[in-house]
Amino acid sequence: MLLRRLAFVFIIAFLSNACIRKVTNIHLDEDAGVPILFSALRNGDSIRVFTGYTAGIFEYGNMDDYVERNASIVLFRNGTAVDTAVSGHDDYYYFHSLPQPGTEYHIEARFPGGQVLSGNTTFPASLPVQVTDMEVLQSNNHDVVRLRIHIDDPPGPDYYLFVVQPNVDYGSYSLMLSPDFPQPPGSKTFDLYNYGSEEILALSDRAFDGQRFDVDLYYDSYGDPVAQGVIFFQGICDVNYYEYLNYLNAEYYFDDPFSSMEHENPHGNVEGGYGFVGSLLQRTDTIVP
Amino acid sequence: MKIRFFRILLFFLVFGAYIPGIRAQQHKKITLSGYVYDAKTRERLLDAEIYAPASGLGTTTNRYGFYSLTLPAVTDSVEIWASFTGYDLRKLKVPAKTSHLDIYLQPGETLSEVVINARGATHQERRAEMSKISLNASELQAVPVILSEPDPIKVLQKLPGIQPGNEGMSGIFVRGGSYDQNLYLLDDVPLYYINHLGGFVSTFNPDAINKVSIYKGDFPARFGNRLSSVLDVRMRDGNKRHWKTYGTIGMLSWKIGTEGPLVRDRTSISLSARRMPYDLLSRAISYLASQGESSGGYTFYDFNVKINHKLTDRDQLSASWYYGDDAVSFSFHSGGDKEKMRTGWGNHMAALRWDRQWTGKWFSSQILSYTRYRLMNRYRSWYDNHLDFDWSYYSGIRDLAFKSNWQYIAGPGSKIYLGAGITHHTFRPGALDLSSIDTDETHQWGNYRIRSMDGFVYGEWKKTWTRRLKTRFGFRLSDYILPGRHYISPEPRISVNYMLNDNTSVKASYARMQQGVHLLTSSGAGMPIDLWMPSIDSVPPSRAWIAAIGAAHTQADGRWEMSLEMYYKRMHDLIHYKPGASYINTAISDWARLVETQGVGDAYGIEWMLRKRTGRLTGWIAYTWAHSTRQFTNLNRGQAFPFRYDRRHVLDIVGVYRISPKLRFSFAWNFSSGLPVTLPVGQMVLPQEIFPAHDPPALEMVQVYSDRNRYRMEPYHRLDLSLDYRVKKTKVEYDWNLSVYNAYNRHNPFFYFVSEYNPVTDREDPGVYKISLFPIIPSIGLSFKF
Repeated sequence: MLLRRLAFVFIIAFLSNACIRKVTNIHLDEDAGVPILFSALRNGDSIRVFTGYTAGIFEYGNMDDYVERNASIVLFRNGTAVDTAVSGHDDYYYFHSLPQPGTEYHIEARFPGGQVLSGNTTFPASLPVQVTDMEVLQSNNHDVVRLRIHIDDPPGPDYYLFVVQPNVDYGSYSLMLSPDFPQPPGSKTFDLYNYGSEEILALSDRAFDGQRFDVDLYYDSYGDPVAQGVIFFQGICDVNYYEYLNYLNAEYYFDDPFSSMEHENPHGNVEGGYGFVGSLLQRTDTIVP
Repeated sequence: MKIRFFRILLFFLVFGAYIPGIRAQQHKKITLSGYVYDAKTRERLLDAEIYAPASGLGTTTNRYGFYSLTLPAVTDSVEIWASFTGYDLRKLKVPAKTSHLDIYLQPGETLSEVVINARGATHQERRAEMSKISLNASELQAVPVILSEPDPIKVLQKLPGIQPGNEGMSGIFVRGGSYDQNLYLLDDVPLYYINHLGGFVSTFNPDAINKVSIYKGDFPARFGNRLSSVLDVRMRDGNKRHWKTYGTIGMLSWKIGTEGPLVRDRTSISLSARRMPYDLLSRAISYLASQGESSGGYTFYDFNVKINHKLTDRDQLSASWYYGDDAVSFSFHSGGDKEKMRTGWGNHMAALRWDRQWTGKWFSSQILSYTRYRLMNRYRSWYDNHLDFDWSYYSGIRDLAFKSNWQYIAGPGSKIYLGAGITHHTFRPGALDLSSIDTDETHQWGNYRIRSMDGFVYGEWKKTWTRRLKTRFGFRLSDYILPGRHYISPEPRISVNYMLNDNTSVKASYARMQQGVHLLTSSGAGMPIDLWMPSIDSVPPSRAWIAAIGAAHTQADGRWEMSLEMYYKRMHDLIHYKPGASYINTAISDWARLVETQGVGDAYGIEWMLRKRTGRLTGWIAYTWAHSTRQFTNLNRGQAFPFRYDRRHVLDIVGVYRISPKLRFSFAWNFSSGLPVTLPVGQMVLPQEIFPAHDPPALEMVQVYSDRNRYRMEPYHRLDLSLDYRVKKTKVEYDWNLSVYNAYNRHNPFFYFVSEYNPVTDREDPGVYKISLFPIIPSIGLSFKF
């Protein structure tokens, strides 16, 4: 009985001393009130813009409190002002314009407080991806789809995104990349991501810039039927969109104590504040064997 | 005239015969060589001093216990003094004809007092090299440490220029370098992972150790392939005269060891084993608590074996073997269903060495070695007593190496070292095997190996020019070899020592290094999930150079010594995880995309140490002022940021007081400036863009972080106390140790986070909070030997 009491006291004493306490030696320079501009141009969608502000780390208001709904936003196309955004009902502003391929855009937002934010992006001219072959293979009693894709890459840095889904209502929304993803013979190392949370295959053209490039993608269905084909989502984006996806993928793990990731701030290419302006040209094809 | 002629002739007749003899005697030299041994155990003593007072010349035994000293033989005999820390001074009169001389020293009677009675070559002001500190076995065990678990790494962390990582961790950070930039050698064989229990304890069992030396700069040319330090750990050879057994029952681990002669005076063996016993308890408790359905636990263990054989008076063979592991395992079962999970990580090392004294001037050491580090996870499940699912993950690195080292005594005060070596590396970054018996599926990810080679040649010349001036000129040519590619690195190593007077010297050194292997680590402090990767085209070897100047002074009676050093180090081609990269992705072959490259590091500082080596009170005060940064193009907006373990001020005070021959009190106090930390400073509303994108993206609040490592934690300080009481009963000697870690219960910061609520009271109290790990921890341990 005595030993148990002593053990209990010891454990409590130990736990109360291995403790959590508030510190006083740090005064954070809170990053509050910095304006934000965000716009991701997509084909087929009116150009959409978000404006807002940062909050201090110790501010705990509603998200609504940090959205700016009274900014004046102008769209420039190839250097000429062509449109003024109107406020939607969903915290976004909208231009009437749809993004046009191969066009350089500049978005400028004037905030009521006088701040001016701006960002540039060049909308991709085309999505030079073709599926040239599809084969359904058998592996461990279920289907693995091999898609051969051909890319006629234009000069300049380009970033490709791929997602595969079986063409059935209940199919899983993922692209499982073959573990021994074949690199073209003689190619240099290229950037290749398989974003964990979204299961997007992202590929940069560093090793084949301006060249024709053929590669096989493998989609492991894990039992989902692919006899009716697969839905192949393809996209080409600029570096800002690519890096932004990269940040979102990392941010997914920031609160995970076992994560190996260091904290980073969202990717930005906006002058005058935070945020990014980028472009995505996407297409969806149904590929049948 | 005739008389004068005959007087001259007579002079030559009488004295002429002596003239050639006199000239010959003026040039007569003797070369003494041999080994220095412990008289009781026949253990070779490394860095023992051999000194000839008449000529003022001296030397030390090398890393294999061998010495060679060329002296002028003015008379028919020479007087030699031999000494070593913890041993009685031995004075010998040796006939001038002697060439081979093995010296046996008697251990001193004191508990752990450091005794130096000879003004010899090991005194720091007399050594050509700088930035080196050596500790022997007794010094390693004297310093108080957590849970009475002596650990050489914990002692090294109290020396100037050498810092620990986070609290309780065994990693060392030397002069602004990172954890992976240290070369850990166990009997000349590299170990890639030196931690047990997450870094709480190192893999070096102090009972198995003879000596530890650390080089913080001014690396001898025989060392390479790391940028920041070399930790040279020598295992004990074993007692060649009598069998001894020793053990420890501590709060963290239990140890047992034995050593003794297989053939008296010829062949010895040393065996030691260590284990953490708590998993036995946790398995039993969990088994009982779950009524037999589950059990689990964590343990670490290691084994050291060394056999040393004196083949002839000139040849010594030794074989070393080390195996160590950390293991976590759990099992659950219910009826015919069962699950088992096991994770293990650790080192396996083996080495064969042949030391030969060819002549009095030539000595060589040939080493063939194997080392492997691996991390292994395995999960299996049984359904209805049939194996249903089997998943395993494996990553590791394996080396096979051969090194040849030669030493030549070119003359009095002149030594030449030559050598070459080659290492074959096999990297296995991450192999995942998945088998589902039920669905008959088998998958393998990343089951590939990367191979590379590492070759070097070196030459080094140590020269004593005058009584005041000593130099060491070394050159190492390293070649890191990949298929179709060579990374050749010329690495000069230079040091100069100039004696201002008999007790004081000034020194300067310069060294260049290349490191062909990289450690992918997020914590930076050495975790089992860290991965060693080879350099490739897009991730070339890292390089560094370091320059240092300093001064050293030893008091005339040898009691006190002081040193002051300033250094500057520049590092190139460093790597760092990219934002968004994770070790999980290394099952994919293209690991290079995970890292930012072309990083640059800067480190500079001042180190001061005052050491008392004799008397009832011994110990040291060490102070370091240091500054270390990193810079990568794509991190922190391209701006330089403080290195993760950049501590501006570090002060260590260590003392060992011999109250009586049986009772010893020791203390260690450390003060360190706070570590840098990155904290969130704001929040941002951000659209969550996805792909394929089809709807307006949802909005979410994410945190905005400060510049990397912009803030500083609170300073860290801690006092550890220890009391050792020795009792001898018949043939068994007991050592009771009572120690207190963090004696005044300082709540040192371990981790910072921002919170709206106080996590303890759950009341609204926005602020920055710290987590502290270790409060005051008393401990008791018992060691025995017979």
